[in-house]
Amino acid sequence: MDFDVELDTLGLQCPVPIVKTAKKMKELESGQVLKVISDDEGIQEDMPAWASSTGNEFLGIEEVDGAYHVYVKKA
Amino acid sequence: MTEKATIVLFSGELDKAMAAFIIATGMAAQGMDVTIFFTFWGLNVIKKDKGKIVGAKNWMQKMFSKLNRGGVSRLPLSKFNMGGMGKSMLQKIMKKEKVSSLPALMEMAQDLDVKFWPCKMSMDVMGIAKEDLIDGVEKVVGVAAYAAEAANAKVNLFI
Repeated sequence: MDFDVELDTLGLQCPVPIVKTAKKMKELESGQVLKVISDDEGIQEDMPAWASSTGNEFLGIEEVDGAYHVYVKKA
Repeated sequence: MTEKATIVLFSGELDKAMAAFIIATGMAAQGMDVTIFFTFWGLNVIKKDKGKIVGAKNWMQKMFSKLNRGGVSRLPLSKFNMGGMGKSMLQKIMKKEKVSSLPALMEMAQDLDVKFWPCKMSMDVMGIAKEDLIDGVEKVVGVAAYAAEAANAKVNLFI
């Protein structure tokens, strides 16, 4: 999937990946896509929930070598 | 309008404080305006780790503040503390599992503009002055200030 900015949160536990995502999203412009890499299983539920409550668009998750690549588009 | 959330942190134990701060940072990351109201034992979480407690005025408060020194490094576990042995084991496990420490979570919370409101009445009872609390405490408040915040909040938790 295409993306504009990448955020590596490997090894980090809840709530840090979401906190870092929220901070990183502030740097993006509307329409840009953030790719978050995480090995926290909880991210599968957390990121869609975070996106819907912040009004951003959750684009999907890919599982790559035991990690999750999560894509979110800034509203 | 930004959604609000409040947490009353009444407990002064490491595990409960961690729960409070994980929830607070999670909600703040969701764009919510979060306030933590520290009362009674919860004040121990935001007491300075080092130095003398200057707020204790009479002998009872002085004795009390010795027995209840507080500070983030001194918080026990609510279960299986075992004189600190259980706590140090849990901290080792958490480090291995890469869970953020309580000081790191608190710093994250301040970074996300989570407001720290200590309860004035508890501070008076326990002999705690504002100088005894960590930096970044927004303001010392009473229950009315908390109630006004809670009335406008969607989520209100008591921990």
